Amino acid sequence: MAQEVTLEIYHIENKTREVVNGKLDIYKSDNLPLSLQFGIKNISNLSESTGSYSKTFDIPATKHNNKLLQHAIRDQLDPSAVTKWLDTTVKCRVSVNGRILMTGSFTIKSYTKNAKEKAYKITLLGDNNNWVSIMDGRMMCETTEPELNQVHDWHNGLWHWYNANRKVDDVNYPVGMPTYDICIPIIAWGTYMYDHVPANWKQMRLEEQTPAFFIKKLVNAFFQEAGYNVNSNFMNTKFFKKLVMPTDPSRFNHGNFSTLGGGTNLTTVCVAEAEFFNDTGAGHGVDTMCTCQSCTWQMPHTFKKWDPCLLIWDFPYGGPYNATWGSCPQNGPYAVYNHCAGTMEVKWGWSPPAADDWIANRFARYNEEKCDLYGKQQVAEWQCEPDTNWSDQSQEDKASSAAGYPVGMYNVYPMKYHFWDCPITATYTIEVKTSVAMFKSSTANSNGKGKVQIKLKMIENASGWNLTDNSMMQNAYASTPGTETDLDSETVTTPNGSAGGGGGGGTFNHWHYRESDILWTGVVPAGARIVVEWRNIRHNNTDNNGHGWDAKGIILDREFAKWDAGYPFASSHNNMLYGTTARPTTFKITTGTEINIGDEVTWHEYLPCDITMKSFIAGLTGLFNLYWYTDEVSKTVYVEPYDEFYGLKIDAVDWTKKLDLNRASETKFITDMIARNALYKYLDPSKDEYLNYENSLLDYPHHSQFVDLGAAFLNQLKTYGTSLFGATWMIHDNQLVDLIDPDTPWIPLIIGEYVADVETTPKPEVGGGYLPRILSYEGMQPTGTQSAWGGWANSGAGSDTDIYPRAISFVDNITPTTGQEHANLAYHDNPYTGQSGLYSKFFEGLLQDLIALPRMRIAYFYLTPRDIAELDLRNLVWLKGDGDGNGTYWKIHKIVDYKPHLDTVTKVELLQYQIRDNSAPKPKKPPGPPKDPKVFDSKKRTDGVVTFNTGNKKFNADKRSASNEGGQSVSAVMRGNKAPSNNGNVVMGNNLVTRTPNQIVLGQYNKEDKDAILIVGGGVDESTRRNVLTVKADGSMYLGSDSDNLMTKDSSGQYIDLYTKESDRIIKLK
Amino acid sequence: MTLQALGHQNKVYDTSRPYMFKYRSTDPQCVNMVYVLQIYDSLGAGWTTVTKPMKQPLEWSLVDEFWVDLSMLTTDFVEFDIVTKLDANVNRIFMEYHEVNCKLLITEEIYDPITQMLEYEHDINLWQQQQTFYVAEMGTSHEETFNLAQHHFTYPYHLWAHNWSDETCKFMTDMPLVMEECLDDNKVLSFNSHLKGMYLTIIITRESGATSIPIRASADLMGIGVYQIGVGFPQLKAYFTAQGTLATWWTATNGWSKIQYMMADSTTNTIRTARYTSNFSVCGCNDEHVRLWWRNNRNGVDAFTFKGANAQYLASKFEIYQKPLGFRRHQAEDPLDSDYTDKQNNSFNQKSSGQNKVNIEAHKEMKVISSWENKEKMKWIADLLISNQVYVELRDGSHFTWFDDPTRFADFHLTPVIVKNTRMKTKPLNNTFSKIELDLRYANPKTVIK
Repeated sequence: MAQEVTLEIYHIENKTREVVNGKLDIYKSDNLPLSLQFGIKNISNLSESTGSYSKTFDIPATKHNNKLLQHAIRDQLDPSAVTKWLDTTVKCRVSVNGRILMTGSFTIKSYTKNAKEKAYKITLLGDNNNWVSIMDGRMMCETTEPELNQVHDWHNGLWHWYNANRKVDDVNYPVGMPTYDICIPIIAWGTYMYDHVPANWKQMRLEEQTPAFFIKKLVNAFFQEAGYNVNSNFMNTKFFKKLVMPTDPSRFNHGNFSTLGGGTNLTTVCVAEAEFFNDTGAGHGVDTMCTCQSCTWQMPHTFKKWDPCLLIWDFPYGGPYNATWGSCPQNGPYAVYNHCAGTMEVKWGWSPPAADDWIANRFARYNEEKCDLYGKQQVAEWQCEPDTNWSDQSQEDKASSAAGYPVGMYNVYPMKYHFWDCPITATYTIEVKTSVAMFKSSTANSNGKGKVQIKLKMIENASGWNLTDNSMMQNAYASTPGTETDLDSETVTTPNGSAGGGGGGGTFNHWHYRESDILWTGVVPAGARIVVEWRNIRHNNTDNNGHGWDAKGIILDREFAKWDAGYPFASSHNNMLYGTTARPTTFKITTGTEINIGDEVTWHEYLPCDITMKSFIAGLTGLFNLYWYTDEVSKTVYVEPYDEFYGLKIDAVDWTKKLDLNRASETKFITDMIARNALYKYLDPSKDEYLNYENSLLDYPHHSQFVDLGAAFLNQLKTYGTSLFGATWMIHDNQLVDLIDPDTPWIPLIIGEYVADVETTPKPEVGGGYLPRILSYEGMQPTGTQSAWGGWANSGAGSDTDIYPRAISFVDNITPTTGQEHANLAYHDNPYTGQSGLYSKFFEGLLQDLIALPRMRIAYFYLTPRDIAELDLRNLVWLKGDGDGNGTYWKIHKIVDYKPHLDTVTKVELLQYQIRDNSAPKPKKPPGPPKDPKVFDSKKRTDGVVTFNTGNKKFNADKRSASNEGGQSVSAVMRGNKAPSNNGNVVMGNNLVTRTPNQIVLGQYNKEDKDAILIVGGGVDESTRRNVLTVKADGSMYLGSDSDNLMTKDSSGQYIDLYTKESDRIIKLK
Repeated sequence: MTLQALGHQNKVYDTSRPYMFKYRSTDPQCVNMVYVLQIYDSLGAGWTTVTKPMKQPLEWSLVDEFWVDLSMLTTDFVEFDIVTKLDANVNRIFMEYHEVNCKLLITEEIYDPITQMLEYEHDINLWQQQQTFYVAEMGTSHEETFNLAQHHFTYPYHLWAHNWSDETCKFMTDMPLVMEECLDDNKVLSFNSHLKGMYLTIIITRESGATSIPIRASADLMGIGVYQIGVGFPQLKAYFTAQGTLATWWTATNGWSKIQYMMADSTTNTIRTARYTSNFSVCGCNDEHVRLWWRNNRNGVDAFTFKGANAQYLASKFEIYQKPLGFRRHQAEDPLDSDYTDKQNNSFNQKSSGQNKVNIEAHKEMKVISSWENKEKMKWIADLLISNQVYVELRDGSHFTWFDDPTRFADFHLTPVIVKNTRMKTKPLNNTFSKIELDLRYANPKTVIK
């Protein structure tokens, strides 16, 4: 069969379209280093093959290639034309008989020439387009799964909806895909803040909970985003569908997502932000339309019109050329100023107002939106009037005014003003920054002849809004104005001072630059509208010097330049540095990142942004001993736990006739690869100090399983297990119910501090930064016989209830709901229920197969393209032996270097498949904890009722005591004892401590004594540890803890020392 | 500020050898000359820029000159193809790409002392356009270059002003001017002209001894470049048949004993090239003859018939893979015991085979031997060893079976072969006649079914 190999180079246009540049000439195709690998991914090699490969080979410098490679071989080529051959711009694909085998980036490594050009050395760098490498580059929170990107409201109604009527096995079963993205089970993340009234117990509040993600949803989403479908029976089991990953409290906030890309958590989020900007197109710092040459540095104070877009300057005084005011003739050219907006002008004659008063409402014109978290901000809009209206001054004096005080206001134009409506009652910080230019026309004896006030205002319960109000009348914005509250305000004023002109000292007839800052923090109730007002104040004129005058204010945007305000001289009488621009005029509302009831939440934002999708998959792989096989052609990923991964014998394929006997095959035993001791465990907790403490009391960590295979194997301890998840402690939380009974809510405990009697006492503050956890969601479960209070209840209104949403890592001897199957996510078997643990379910089979001394066979097979096309590594391979008899089943471990362009044999690694039977050595598990340790810790309540608390740590299943091999005695362990394993201690009692080999410790709460061989402890708690009897290694004996002088009373009642006689020595007892 | 061309002429250059152009800049800040090459596409696209910008630094030890040799670059654009199908009416011609019309666009790269950067104009439309020039692959040997300027190397092989009047212009071949040809051999001449309106003319010597006037044997060639025109007897016969003049120039009883062929200009009908002669003979049963075609060292096409004995081979190689067959004979050998083993399908059934071939590769090979030839021909035929395109003409007629169309009799079918010989005698020791032997391998493997 002719194998035609083609090497095509192409490039990607517009990020999607592949444009083929042409086919390259190659040397003899047989010599191309093309090969494909096939293998299973599992816990040991998931990270190994990222599918990246690089093939380097020579192609001839034919005319055709030279042209296709654009003469890259020329040393004179401009470097800018070379780079594309060195980076990943140019793509290449290799096809054999039309079937594309590999794609990648094409780079030229070198070229050779002597007198003539000879060859290019090129490298084909394979695309890392398999799921492992794709997921390696994506963080979990980056998922684009639509459902995880939907926006939800975080409130009890949602909680109720997720929980309603769902019990253990109803959860996401038997529906093919998870019905729900998340659930919200009760987890004790820290102290409960909400008391039930009467305050007998704590409420279960949404405020203290976080969403838990259904694992299957995540797995499916991650694979789909990578372009693969998942095919798995295991993932369609009830067991798997119920698995959830709770969200760490430190991730459940509006800032978690910002950690993506190495960012840090936000502490505040922008709720709404807008800026005022009024660019008429004139450009920065340009006195537009100023045809009058010397006016370029002057700012007028008499305006023809205050248009919403433009300030139009009618040349002052209308007189002829004036050296001071400018050079334009009467009624001559005007100047138009942009990057500002007028507030208004106030004027008055000889009788000023008796006190400051406001002129009119003018809502702020923030028109550029920077952020709007809830979509509750309206930005300002306005409309410029046609040029023909410029000279129209009829709009003056529109507003009402106190008698005798004419007010000039020119701001009649259709507009929407800026506001923000508060969606959620919460604490907000509002920052209003304003830049103002102000002018007064005559001197005064004190500051403040011109004033502009910026006011932050909250309006509640208004209705009948007139969003285009331009009346400037107070409360005219709504037919029912509601209640106005001034949250804050600031007034900026012109300075006092003498006449202007001529530079130096003058304050009137000059423009002055001012900045105003309002910073307000407080609770804004939902529904309230926040607005900002810009307005002029009419200043009382008690120090009026007898001149009529007027005052003006204009609000400046970020491009308003100093020279715009440089009237009459560029450098005088203002406090805005020459050549600079005004500070932006902005409005910003921020709030903390915490998620409040009523907030909008988007689930994917709370997934870890520091854990890749691959790490997540790897974590599951180690948990359930998953085996992955990818069919890259159909983009299907097959995954099952080891025991289920391989198919049935009847589905095996017969490769007998493909085996090449021309080459010797090798069969080897793989015993030496197996360690004697294995520990299957979760990751060690880092911040979960409660679990850390409990683990410190155990030989092997919580939820782990230790296995000893016996002396035939390599004397090593190997640790296996999940690379992502931490184990989760469970408690019966008595704080959540009225009275304590053995079936109080059974909930995960994830806290940052050890607290004794955590079931009943207040827990430490809510922490964060814990390892990801995996739990099994059980839907709504009874709270025992007791009442509880849950926010989900009563359709989300919250009320007393007798059920709660439960997620578990295992169950103790709680009463199972009929027909329901609880999960056991510990590696060890559950001592209460007898359920298999993860080890028994997922790892024991593999271990048994391994210690049954399997063979690995490395042989050559004549595999055709059809064999490869039909390849399914889950299928067993049947190989007949001699005379068609002696057949054996094998599992394909790896197919090495299949060369699609050659008609030849291929190396294959096989592992012998065996049926487990009793003849194989069994892994020895150390004796487990008592199956039914009815050890109850009696707790006396102040009300005199004696209840029982099944403190699970007393008989937690992790307590793997040392084996009795090696002549060491067994330590008998009861509650709270701390003793190293395998060092010959006898420890009987509770809360005993020993670190000394071969020491016997009895009683309770002893003190450590390294010289003792026998200690009887007699303390009553941690603070009163004492030893009542100590026998030292030298044979001496001590009674009591701190005494050094044993005494007794004589007959007369006097204390006397005690002595003994030994041989001839008199020894004082201590 | 411009670049001034110092050595750059509107000539034909042999791109198989270096040819250098020099440019001078009058700008003392000019550091590099930047240039792109443009190629003229006669099929309609016009001038096409075929390279990215190239930078040539100042020539070492000179302050203002840039020297560029474009030969390796332009070689890439010279192509070759053999016309294998001759139309009945007009001899098929090729003119594209056998000779390439080139042009340089150049600009200066200037050092800016203020920005301390090098800068050049990036819009090549604003660059200086240089004179067009032509390149052809002529395989000029060192001994041919004596006392010649570079643009004279190609003088013998194209028609232009320099050889317009002296009948010295050669066709693109080193073939001897006089050749013996079989009457049924196809033959193609390659002619490079820089003047338009040329046509093929032949002078026929009949078997009767009569010699004709020069007879037009092609249409006018209206372009500049390389043409291939059929001059074998079958091709010329087809041409005259189409012209309706065959009976004038050929009859079955008074055929051709030889022809002279050359190019003439259609304005004056004056012969403008050297005169080539084909002496015809009847070669009899020519199945035994093997005619090879090749791209010659002047980028033309040559053909030669090996009239000696030839042998053909099939060479193969393979791997063996062995599948399990079974090693024990069971009761299959006992025909009476039918319960245990299948009589037909047991492992030692006569049809069973444990071994199969895989990775079979097969090539056809051929050895051809010429008749006795003189050293002039041997020297010419030796070009076969260095040609990168050699074909064997299939002449046994078998491949015509499915389109045995008498109107297409002048077509000929070429199959690429690789000449395996690495050494060939071009002059025998005693300066007598000699035979040439070639070992050929078909370039493409024989298709093998699996």
